[in-house]
Amino acid sequence: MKDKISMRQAGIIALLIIFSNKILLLPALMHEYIKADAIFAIIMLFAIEFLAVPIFLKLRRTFPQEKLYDILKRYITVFGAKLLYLASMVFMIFKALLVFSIVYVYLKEQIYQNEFVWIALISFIPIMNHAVMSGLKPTARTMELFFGVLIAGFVFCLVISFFTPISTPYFFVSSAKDIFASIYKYAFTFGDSLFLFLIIDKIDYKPKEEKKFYFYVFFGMILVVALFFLFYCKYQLTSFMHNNALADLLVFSVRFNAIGRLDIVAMLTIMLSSLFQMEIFCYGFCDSFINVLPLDKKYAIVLFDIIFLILYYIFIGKYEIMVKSTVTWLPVLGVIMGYVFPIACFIFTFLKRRKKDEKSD
Amino acid sequence: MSYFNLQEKIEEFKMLLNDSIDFAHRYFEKEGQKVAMIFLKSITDQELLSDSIYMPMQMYQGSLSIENLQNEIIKCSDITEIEEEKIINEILGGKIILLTDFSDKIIAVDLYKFPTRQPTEPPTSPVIQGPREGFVEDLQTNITLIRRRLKSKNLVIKSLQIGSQSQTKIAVTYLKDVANDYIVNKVVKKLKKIKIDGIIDSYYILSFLEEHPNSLFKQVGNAEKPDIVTAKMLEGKVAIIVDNSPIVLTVPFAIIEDLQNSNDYYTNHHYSSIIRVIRLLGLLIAILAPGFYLSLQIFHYNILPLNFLITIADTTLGLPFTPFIEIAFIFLLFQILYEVSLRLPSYLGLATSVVGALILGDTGVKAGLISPPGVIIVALAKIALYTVPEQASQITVLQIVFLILGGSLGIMGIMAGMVYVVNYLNKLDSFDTPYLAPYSPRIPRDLKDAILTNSIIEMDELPKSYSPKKEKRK
Amino acid sequence: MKNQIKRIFKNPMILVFIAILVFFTPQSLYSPGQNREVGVVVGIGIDRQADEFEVSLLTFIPTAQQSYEQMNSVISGKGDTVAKALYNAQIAMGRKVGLSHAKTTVVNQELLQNDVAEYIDYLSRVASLSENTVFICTDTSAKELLQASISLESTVGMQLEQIIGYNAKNLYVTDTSLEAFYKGYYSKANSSLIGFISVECEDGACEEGASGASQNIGPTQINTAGTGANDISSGSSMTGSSRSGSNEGSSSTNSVSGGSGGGENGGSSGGGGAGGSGGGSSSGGSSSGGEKKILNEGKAVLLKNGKLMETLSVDLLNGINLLNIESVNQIITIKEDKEEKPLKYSYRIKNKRISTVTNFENGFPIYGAQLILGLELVEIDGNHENLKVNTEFSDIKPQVQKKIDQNLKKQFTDAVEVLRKNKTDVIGINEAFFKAHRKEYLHFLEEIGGADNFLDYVNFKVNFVLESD
Repeated sequence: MKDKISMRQAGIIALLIIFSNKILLLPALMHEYIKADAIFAIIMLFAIEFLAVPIFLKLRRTFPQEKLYDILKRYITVFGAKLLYLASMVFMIFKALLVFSIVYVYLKEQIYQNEFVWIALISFIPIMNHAVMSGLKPTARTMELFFGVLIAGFVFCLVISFFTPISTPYFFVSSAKDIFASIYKYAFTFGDSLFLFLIIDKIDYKPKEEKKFYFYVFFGMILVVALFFLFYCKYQLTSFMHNNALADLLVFSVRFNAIGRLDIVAMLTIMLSSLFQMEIFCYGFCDSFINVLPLDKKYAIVLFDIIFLILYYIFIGKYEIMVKSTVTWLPVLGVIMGYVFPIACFIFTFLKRRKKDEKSD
Repeated sequence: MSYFNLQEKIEEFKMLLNDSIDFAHRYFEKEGQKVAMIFLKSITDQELLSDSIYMPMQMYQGSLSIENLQNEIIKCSDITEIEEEKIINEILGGKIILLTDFSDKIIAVDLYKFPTRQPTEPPTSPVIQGPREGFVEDLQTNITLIRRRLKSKNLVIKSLQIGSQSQTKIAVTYLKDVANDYIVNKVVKKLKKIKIDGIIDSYYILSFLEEHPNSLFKQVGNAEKPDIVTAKMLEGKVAIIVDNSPIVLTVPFAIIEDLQNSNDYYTNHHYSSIIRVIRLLGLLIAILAPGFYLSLQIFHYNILPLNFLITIADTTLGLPFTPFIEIAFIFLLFQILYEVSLRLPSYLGLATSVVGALILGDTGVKAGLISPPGVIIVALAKIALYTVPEQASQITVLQIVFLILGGSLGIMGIMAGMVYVVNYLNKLDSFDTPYLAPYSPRIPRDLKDAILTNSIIEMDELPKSYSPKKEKRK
Repeated sequence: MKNQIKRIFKNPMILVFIAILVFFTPQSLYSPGQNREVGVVVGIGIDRQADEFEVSLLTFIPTAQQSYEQMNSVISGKGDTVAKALYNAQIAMGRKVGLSHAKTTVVNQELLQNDVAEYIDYLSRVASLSENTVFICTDTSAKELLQASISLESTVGMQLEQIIGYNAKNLYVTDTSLEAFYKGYYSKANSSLIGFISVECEDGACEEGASGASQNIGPTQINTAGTGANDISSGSSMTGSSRSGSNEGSSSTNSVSGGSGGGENGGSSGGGGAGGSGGGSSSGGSSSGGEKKILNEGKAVLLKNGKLMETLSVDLLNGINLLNIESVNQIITIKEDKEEKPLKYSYRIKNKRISTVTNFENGFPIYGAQLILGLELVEIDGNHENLKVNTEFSDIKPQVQKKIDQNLKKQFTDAVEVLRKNKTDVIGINEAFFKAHRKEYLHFLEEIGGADNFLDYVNFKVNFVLESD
């Protein structure tokens, strides 16, 4: 029981990683490319991602108490497992970097109004590191405590957008080819289910609570789709101009600033969720690292910080490069880690069952 | 034959007790049989000594024997036979030692008495409606107060003595059918391990009970009223009563306890829920308001509504200080006033509050040293702090931390700080009870008596957080 | 001590906190607060005169215990581009420009000769001007409008955006914000509708007096009267001096208006203040050409591709919005045909129900609409006898009904004509057809060569049903 997280906490983590990278910039980026049909693209992306959940649960049932590394070792050799963990490290750090740069730009525009790199770094990095040091249990509990606040903030943003005139956007304006192309293009912003596989042995699995887990995943997806939908309803043709989807839902709802800045709710929600997401990605990186090299997690944290800072330095002020890489080479990684990997896991469960059958025969 | 040379023995004990001025002895002789009574007159009831030991011995017709003394003569309930080596301890514990020349047995009679006060309502947890008794400094009285409320055969009161010099009596009390053995054993083990010269108050042993003694946050509950302690014991907690202290400690502890108040249970539960929400808000305001205000002034003027911004800009225009120094200054001023008003006699305390509120606040604003919004924010935070008085010391430290974070890093710093603090609290499990239970982790069963509370009828289950032995309150 | 240091190093978070204390806190300790470093702009105006741009900022300047107009002043800067002009205005202000509280953006008509999106793009994208700021146009100078808005607020306690808010709700029946402009700009017909407020002179004798008008600090500024030099330590005089100082320092293209030097107001009467006019024009010895007043006629302008096409009167706006369900309260006045003592009836549209049908017949688009209008008789003008209770007139007589019908139809036809002429579809006809008959619509557009001409081909069949309410 010690150092294990409950199914509810695992569900909350799943929900938080579903939010990652998707609630600020993505709706505008996708709108620029395929207009309101972006909704179909994300529904499809989610549909694929959702498939990872039963696979994950099945893997947990098939290999109870076993670490992912041990499972992988058995089927794809030590080398293969280490290689996969290495890829996971790259995936995680780029995810963290993407979250950081998007949130950084948002906060810079909306509340700091100046460059505040050092403030952002000293606020984010120690928190991420501390989360890894204190272990998954306290971190998951922290997320659980703030979960209510976070969801309330998110739902508030969605609900308040009804107070301004909205109308259904025009669908089916892009070709199917464009929609599929965009699914690939933005694949990196999805595929976060990988993290769940990494912590598979740290979940206090209870078959009865599977439903709960499904609920959180589904709820997260519904919220993101609702955000996309309401955002497109509200901004229609000018959606591409609004880079901060969740916050912008609030901005125009308050006519002439009568009530003051309501979007502070969105700001706090975004800050909280991004802090948690970065904690998750940092944890994912460090967890992968200690499987690649059997060292203490302190070294993993130091390595994460160094790589993070170097990469951030490379991308600093070159936000476009970051965004560009997410649509050029990172999708490959996204597809591998987010989609191919769960399928491989599914095959493992299948193989294990066959072995069992053979034995029983 | 003579078992004890009484004269010698008395002299011996007198020497052992450093010839203290309160050392006293009395002889009684009847028909050649001698009895010596040794005691400390400062802590024994001499009237009772005369009435229940001396007089009965005089009146007794027949020869004295130890059995007679114990069973017939001495009119006192607490009579024990003791070993010779324990005599000094017993004398120091307020007992009267009877030595005779006709037996080698030694009798100790408890006639302990010292000035004690009545169980009046404690100043920290008054109730509008509800029991007003509070614990006193006397251990026996405190046990009585608990026993009166728990007439249960399951009530266990274990006694310990800690402190090489003070020899303070400590009582570990719990309900054996509710409290988890693991917790009880751990408490007793921890208490037995204490190596200290003296325990002046229960707070002396608090740090020894905490699992993270260097932490800012308290991990042991405390109460000044028997009704609160009884209620906590019914939930499966262990109470530690320390002689000479009116504060009773309880473990395990979860932070939600400090948001609960005995008043909540003596009034309508809907109202209690509202009050608890307000308490939580008060807690948040107390911790975050000064830092948040500062961050708005230094980093995020654009978040402020225009009219509020105008007010702030107007009022801070002529100030000689920067916002950070201004808030820090007001903060310091309030803290000094608080300290002063706490220490001064009440009639002077009133004078300081007048000086503080009127002269320093109002004149400070008029003189252009501090701004009204700044005063309001700090005052609000300082007042809100006392919605949860049990956490006042921790909140004050957090106020300063968040003030620095807000002033130095802005809202981002405050959010990061919050996440860190919660993460840290989540590591502070006290006796296997999650510190932030029942919210983190979420324990649905315990939510009945959390921020939102149900009626007593619905609280039919014991809180799971404290791992009680049984589930239902029956 | 040693142990304590050891403990600190054991907990890295304490080290982080110390790092914050060392590296970040000292800077914050010295920071004077953003409200002293940033000039909070509540309104921004962009004027174009020939090839030069002038950006005017209605800026809030904190002054201890002063009236509203002394807290606000218009500061402007000129330049070859909007960015340059804003930069110069910033120099003139001597503070960083903070646009996040800006509630109004005003442009003058001349700026609308070219695509206005190009100019405001800089403000909304780079200078973080929020897109929900009110966006309006004025006839002569945006700067003058902003200046006039100061006295408007100080005298009648009304803000410019409140007037525009009223217009937007009741006359334009659409937002007139930057966002609304962009929405129209990117719509199929690339056309948008924004509010129009003009400035008029009190005595009709406004000349080149832009700077003069800016002196209308008003009669309440008593304390600086006659002092000339800003020796009084009130906020107002301090701001005056600081602004004039920065003006000297900046390039010659900057013109700082406002300049609340006491000398210019030396002759102000000190009384007054009541009524809408303010009375700053009475200031002695200034170059004032008369008090400027905001004139709201409920007009709006039609933009196509960000360029000004036509200014719309209230009647035209009402016509355009006939098909808009939210547009009510319009007054329709008709005159009886009787030769003797003709009565004038005024009806108010109290409520509206609309059902629309879009269709393609023989390859041509047909827009059919049935409007059921609930009318309320509000006034009968003329010599009428035995008029005791209005209710007896509540039934609309057939001839009156016919007149109203004609009236409304004319209003609508006129409006459509204007829209057709300017190729501006601000009533969403393109969108309605796109939504309902996408294939035919797109095919039709191919035939006619784009959405611009679409309105010309639409056959409107509008039927009015009048009900007395």
